[in-house]
Amino acid sequence: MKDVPAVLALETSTEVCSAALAAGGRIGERTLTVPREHTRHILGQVDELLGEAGLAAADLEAVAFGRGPGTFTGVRVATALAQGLAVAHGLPLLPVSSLAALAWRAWREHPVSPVLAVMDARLEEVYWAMFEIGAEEVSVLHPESLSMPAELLAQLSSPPGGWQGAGSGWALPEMRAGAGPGTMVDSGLRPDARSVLELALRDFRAGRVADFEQAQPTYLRHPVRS
Amino acid sequence: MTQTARVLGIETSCDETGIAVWDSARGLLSHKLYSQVKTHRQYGGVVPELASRDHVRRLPQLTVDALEEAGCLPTELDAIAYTAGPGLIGALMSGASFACAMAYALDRPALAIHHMEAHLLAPLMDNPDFSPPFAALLVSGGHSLLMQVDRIGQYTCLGQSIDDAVGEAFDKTARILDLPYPGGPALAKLAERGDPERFHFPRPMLDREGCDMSFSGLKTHARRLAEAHPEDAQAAADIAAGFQEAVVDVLVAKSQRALAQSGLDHLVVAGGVGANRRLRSRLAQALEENGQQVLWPPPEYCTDNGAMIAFAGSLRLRDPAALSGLEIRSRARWPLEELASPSPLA
Repeated sequence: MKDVPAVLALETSTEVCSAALAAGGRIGERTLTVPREHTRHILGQVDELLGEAGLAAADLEAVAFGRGPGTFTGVRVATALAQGLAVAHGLPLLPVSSLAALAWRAWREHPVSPVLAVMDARLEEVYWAMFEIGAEEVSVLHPESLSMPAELLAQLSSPPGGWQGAGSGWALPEMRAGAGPGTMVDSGLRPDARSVLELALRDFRAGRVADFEQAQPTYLRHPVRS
Repeated sequence: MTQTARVLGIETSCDETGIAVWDSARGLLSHKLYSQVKTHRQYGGVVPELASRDHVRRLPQLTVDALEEAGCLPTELDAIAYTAGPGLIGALMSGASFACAMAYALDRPALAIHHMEAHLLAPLMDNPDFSPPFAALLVSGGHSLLMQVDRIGQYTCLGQSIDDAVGEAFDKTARILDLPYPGGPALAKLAERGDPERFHFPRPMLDREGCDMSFSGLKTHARRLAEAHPEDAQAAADIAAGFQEAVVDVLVAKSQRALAQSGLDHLVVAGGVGANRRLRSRLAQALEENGQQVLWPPPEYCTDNGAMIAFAGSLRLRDPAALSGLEIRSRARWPLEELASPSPLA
């Protein structure tokens, strides 16, 4: 990991407030569970990480952030923070799907693939996506969607063997029942900044950086119901 | 202040993204505004979640553009000032997060600015010789206030609307008359063709002591008249004119009362309704007859903008109370009277 560039990652799309920093071959991280209080903690987390690494914000080479889906306010906090840091020093931005970060984190803990990442979206719906994960690659088997649990489960009518489920959506009774016996499910898992960072570093090395237009939140849900 | 300071101002409290650079020696170096009127028009009012989304979409490029126009590198800024409240909480939080991250990255102070204080002080941008004490009439879609300004940061409320804000009453009445959003300016335009005498509108609360105001009754009155005269274009114009005249009468009378009560002879008018031409001419006339003076910001600084935030930031540059530190501040509600004067320089 000697060639790891100095990249900061932020993830605030759930009740978890998390920052991670890759620098000098190490990854530092700070993670707190602070519902609706991300703005009180996140810059302090960043400051601690940079201080530990002996770096200033001006030394960063890119800023990564969990772009959602998740709570609207949460994904905007991470996005706006990343934008502010980027504008200050002309840094490239690395938006990462918060569902992909969740799936990646689940796979790191239990290397079982595919991962069905499901977040509670309230209003009896879930944000979800399915990923095939290997040591070198994360590929999308089902794109990010907003569905009722029953709609999601209908698409899994013959679930492939050996998959795992992760995220708050699996705490919903309908989802729990749909997982079936023997399927590994962790409903307590949340996306964190370390996962965002690890996925972002692949993008950064491959030159996949985003401009301001592309580095935007993914909401999936329109606020005005017709 | 002997030292010059260059401050970036960021305004996102409602449906305008405003970014500006203010230099304490050279004045306004740049001023960028993105108005979300089109986004909200189809809903007939501001949808808070859509407002927040639009701010995050516009903030970075608008900031880059404002800095470029000012010929200023981010590292040449001395501080970042942002609207910390009052306003729509999601909208505020977007601008505050952006501003605080930028300030942190540049190792400069992030200054939490009160939106209404910035409106109050906006007329000072163009009138450096003008200074408190003065009275102020703040009239917008969210506020109707008469304030006594003893010095910067020292504000006493003399009166306020007990129900709808003036701008809100304008917008709602405009909707009753089927005018396009945003209704206030459209109503004022329609009123130009109307006869303000045809329909009698009450003058709410003029018979009561003090400077409090009420506007929701005028809106209700307009609705009854509109229902009694459907499909009648001239009646609509006359209702608009009668409504506007009643509002202006109340604002003029209460402003005069505020000046008398506080013993002041200067009135500053700010906020979006401050761009209303009828209000401008009637207030100017009424005050000048008494040897009093009224000050207006240019119309583009009556509505929300980043310039006033940058300017207010330059006045609170070394004020510990405004310093955000590592905490990103945003408050939906924030009474002006909670502010204090900036601490004198150490």
